[in-house]
Amino acid sequence: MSRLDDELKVAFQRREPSADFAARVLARLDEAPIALAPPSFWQRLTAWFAVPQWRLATAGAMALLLVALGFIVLRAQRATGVDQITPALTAAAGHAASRTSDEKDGLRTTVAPNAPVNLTVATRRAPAHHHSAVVAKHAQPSAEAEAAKEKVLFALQITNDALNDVQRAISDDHSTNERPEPVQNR
Amino acid sequence: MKSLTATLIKITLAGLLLAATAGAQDAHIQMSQLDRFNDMADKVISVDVGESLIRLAMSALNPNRSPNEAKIKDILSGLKGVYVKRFEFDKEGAYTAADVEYIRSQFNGPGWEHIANVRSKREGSYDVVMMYEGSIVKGLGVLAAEPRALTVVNVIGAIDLAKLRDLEGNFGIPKFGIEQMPGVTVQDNRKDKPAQDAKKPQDEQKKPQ
Repeated sequence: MSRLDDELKVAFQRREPSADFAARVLARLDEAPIALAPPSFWQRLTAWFAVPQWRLATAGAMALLLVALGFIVLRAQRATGVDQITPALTAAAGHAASRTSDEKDGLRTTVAPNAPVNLTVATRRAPAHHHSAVVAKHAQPSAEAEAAKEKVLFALQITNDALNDVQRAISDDHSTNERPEPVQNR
Repeated sequence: MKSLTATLIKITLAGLLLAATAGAQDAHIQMSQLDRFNDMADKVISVDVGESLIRLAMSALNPNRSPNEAKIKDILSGLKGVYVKRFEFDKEGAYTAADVEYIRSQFNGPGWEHIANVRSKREGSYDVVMMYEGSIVKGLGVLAAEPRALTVVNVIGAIDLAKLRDLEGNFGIPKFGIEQMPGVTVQDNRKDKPAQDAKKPQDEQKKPQ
């Protein structure tokens, strides 16, 4: 027990630090901090995405952008529409489409020599019956297309007539202004 | 932070919408107020051709078939819409100055430039306006207010007036059968008038108008 007492006394023995201990600690605190190496680009990038809210916002913005781009591309494709039918498709389905005595046959026939080469490409892209249905629709203008054409031409004709009326009115106005004064009888 | 995410999404949406509509100055002329003449006018011609119909019409044009079709296709390639309203009346004074001003006020809107203004007591008034974006034509407006007829034409898109004039007489539209065109309204109210007019003495009918 005396040994235990001695050990406890030693353990609980209070030892005073050195006189300049506090000064040394304060001096150390006042020293300039060690400059750390700047984070690399990758570290900064990953740190930015580490915040969950920013990650979600970025993902949402990218998704919206992709949707908008897809919409614009779809609109552009629809605007070009039937004009994009290639001679390859025309030739590929020319054999399947029924021939008529229409003068458009000449147009199809001139494309026919390319058919063997383009047939392979056409069938690889889509089933043949789909091609034949699509090209049969566009090789010969449909009734709706013809009606649309006449309607558009009618509208342009009225536009032209209206502009002619304006031109005539302007011409009449100029001729009235240029009319010489009547000679007074003496 | 949740509000920050929502704000960012809203800003992104607004930016996308702004990008889509940037530079889209509207060359469309409103003509709905003139619909009240549909029953009053002796003859009504109303044509509405949108962009999809123009594209469909272009598919029926074959440039290899005739030079005219090539020219017409060239003209249509820049168009986005053609809207026409023409009212023919049996007497003068059927429409008011307010009706004309309804259209003319739109011609004075932003973007429109006056090309021609004609005021004639005998023939009526004519206004031609065009909308440009730089050197590109974006729209055309024509207002013809004649004593017994009122015509409004609105073309949206790039139209070459010189090419249009070159095609004069070559549009290939038959003089008959226009009423059977789908989407074209040609209403002749004179047919619905009572037969009493036909029984009037010939002397009255021969009076100058």
